[in-house]
Amino acid sequence: MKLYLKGCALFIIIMLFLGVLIWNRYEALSSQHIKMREAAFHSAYASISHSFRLVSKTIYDEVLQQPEVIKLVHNVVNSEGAQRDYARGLLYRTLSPLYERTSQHSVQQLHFHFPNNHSMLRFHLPQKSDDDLSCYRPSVARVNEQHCEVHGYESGRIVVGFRHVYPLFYQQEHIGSVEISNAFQQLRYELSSYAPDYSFEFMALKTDLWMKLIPGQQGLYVESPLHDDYLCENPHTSLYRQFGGAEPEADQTELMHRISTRADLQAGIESSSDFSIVDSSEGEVVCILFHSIKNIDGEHAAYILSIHPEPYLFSLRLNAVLQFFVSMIFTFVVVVFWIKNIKQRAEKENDALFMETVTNHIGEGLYTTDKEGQITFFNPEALRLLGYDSSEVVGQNAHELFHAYDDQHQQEGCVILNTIMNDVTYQQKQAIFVHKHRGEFPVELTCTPIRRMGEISGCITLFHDITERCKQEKALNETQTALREANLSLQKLSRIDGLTGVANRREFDHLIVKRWKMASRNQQPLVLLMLDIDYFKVYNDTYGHVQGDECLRRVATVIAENCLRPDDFVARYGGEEFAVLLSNTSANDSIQVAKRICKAMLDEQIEHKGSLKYEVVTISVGGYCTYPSDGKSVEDLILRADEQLYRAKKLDRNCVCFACDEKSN
Amino acid sequence: MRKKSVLLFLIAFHVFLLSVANAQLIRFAPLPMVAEGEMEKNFQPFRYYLSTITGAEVEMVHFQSYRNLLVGLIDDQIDLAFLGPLPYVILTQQDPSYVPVVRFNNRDGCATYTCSLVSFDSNESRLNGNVLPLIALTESMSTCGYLATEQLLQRYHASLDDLPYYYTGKHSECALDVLRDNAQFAGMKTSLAYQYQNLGLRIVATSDPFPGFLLLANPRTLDAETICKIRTSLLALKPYNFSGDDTVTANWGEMIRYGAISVQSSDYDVIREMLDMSTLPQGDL
Repeated sequence: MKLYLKGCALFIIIMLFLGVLIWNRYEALSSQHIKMREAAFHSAYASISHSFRLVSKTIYDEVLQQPEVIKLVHNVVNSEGAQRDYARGLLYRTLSPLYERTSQHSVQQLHFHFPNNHSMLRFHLPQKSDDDLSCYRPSVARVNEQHCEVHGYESGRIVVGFRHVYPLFYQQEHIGSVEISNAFQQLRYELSSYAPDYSFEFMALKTDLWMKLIPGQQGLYVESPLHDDYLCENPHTSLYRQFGGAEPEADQTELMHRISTRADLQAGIESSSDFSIVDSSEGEVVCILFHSIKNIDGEHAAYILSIHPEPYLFSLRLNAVLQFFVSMIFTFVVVVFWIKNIKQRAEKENDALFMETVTNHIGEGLYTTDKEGQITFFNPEALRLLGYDSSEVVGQNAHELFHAYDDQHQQEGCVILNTIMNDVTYQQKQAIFVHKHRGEFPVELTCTPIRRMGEISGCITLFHDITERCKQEKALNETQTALREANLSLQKLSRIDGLTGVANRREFDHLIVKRWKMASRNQQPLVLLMLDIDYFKVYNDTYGHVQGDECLRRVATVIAENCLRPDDFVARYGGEEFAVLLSNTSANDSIQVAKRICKAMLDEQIEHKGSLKYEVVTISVGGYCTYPSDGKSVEDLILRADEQLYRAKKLDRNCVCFACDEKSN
Repeated sequence: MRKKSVLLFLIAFHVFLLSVANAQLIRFAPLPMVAEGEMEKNFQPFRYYLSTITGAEVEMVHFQSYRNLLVGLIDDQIDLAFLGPLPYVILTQQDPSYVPVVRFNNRDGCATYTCSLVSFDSNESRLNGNVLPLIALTESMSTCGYLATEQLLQRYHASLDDLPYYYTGKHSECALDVLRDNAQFAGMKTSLAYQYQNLGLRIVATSDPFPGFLLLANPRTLDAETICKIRTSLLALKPYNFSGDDTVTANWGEMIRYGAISVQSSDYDVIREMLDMSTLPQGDL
């Protein structure tokens, strides 16, 4: 929330700043434009005024100074009554063609004055004369007094405009003056020809004008809607229309009333100097230039208003508004990104703090490297495990610093980096790192590639010291080996007869079934020899059980030694009885084996005084050969072999009785 | 209750009609005797006065010629007009329904005026000389134009039938044309000729008095009540006798500022007789 408030504040500050910048630029451009307009207007005004003056001067020099004209004026001045009227009529007659011609262009008035400032002859109102102009026409009074030209704006009893008053002399005698005047309306007409789209209005100071107007002329002026101290032309008069003045449009009337309440307008008018205002309404911008007109004393007496639409200012304003809105959008985006960036940075800092907490307390060594193997980060546990300080490892090559060399590394570089660069996570159950002080120690490590912008930029390695674990594993291995050996011994003991060292009855029972199945599967003969020591009970009685056990061991040894093939199996079947299994052995070969055993036993010459026939220990052998098949069983084989043993016992002992089934026969 | 409602409605309707009447526009046309600017100066205050007494807006309409003004009246484009005797007689010959409102006094307090033959530096003998003088006339329908000037010339055994003449359109232009030597003689209203005496304009001969200028109402476009109101108000003005009224008319034109008297159509019979004896060179309206 606080961040958003900050964002809002930042947005407002930036917008204020940009708004001020845009506004200042708009003001500067519009001001520059208006100044150009003012300069153009002043140029036009000065040019027209100057041309008026030149025209008047030309008329004065080329016509009014002609001797016959001067003589006529002199006659008017120096005569009285009917003679003066007649002389005045002649003057009128002489100059009326000139007046008619020039009045069609720029000259509004041609007016002669007596030296005493009384009107001599008005060509624009010839029937009116002899009135005193002293109070109304300071320019006339000044010319008649100072005998010099006077040019400038001056209001009058009939015409308001620009006066050019010249002194008249007859034989160096001052005989009055003459003025050539241009009405303001004429100036407007000329200005309008320069700028047809512009409209020009006139505002005269009421104090300068109102009291001069003769009663019938007061209707030509009305109160200015812009200021109480000023009069403006009455657009509903013929005089106004005579000079091309058009009835003001409703828009302009509305404009005047709208701007009349503006403080800057009132201040501008009261300053009596040039100024301009800009008005905008309903998508149109209008510029109004107020040009101050000075009277012949240099005092402000009137204003000329130049009113014209300003599409440039409108587009400038539109442009400024657009700039403001674009800036607003841009600022909004920037602020949003800023907030997002702050939030992301805060999240990153939180993540980094979290990661730092995790890495500091992970209990495993962790470091990161760039793709050249230069260390970029090392956690405290890694520092502890390797005995380094942080400043010693960052920027160093991890492989060269603490990764122990082996043959593989020397040949192919660091196996970790090579694997990582193939974008594969590398795990090593036991690698060797080198402690700064204590030398090599085993570690288990996992190394994962770090990807930035889709490229592998390095790796993060997680490792922990497995020295203790290796020790424990070694001890465990040793224990397991001992156990395995003990188990093997026990297994062996469980299968071997403890007295004779040959397989015991349990092993025999297990193996005879196996051999039976194998012979059955291979369609091979299986032979079982049952061997029994003759008169062994007597032997025990004669020599005791200890000697008897020795006898059993020697008999077992003889039997085992005479079973030559590896697959031949000897077992103690029980008491003084032994069994031999001969796989894949024919009946004849089996008989030979049995006889060899009997002979070997006899050759062993183990004394046995209790033996009734040989005085040495002998054995009787019964054998049976069969092809295991369905309908036969291991028990049958044992029973048949046992029957042959019984038969051998019955016959003469120390002999072999052997039988076989039909297939073996 | 129902009667009261009807009464209220009638009152409201009457007020509405009055307001409509108040918003009436009266089109006033003075005879174009002098330049338009001068006409404005002479008749603008009178226009304001008319507006005040009638409560209606009064618009001043300018015509370039007498003929156009009379056509405007016939076409009902004008409600009120300031006319001279001859234009009035010619108009009433076409349509006698036009109502004369008042007849204006001149500076002397008489409701008559005269026309004069004027010149600058030409002698009367020139009228009968070898070189024919050029005569400037005001308007074909002006009393002081062809009609009065012909009568004045006959005193010197001359006639417009024999002399070259032209119309300037305005009395003032007649005077100025003589001063400019564009014409040697001119016929114009005597009171206007006096205004140019400061330029040496000389009055050669003056006619007998004619009934003065009058204010005329168009009864088809102006209601009788308004006409009566105007007549009553103007007749009540006594600039000579009542000190308050001279301030009212002080800014009015020379031809209307000295009060008015009641007028009858028969007052202008003398013009009708003159017209019967003379034939104006231009035809009827």
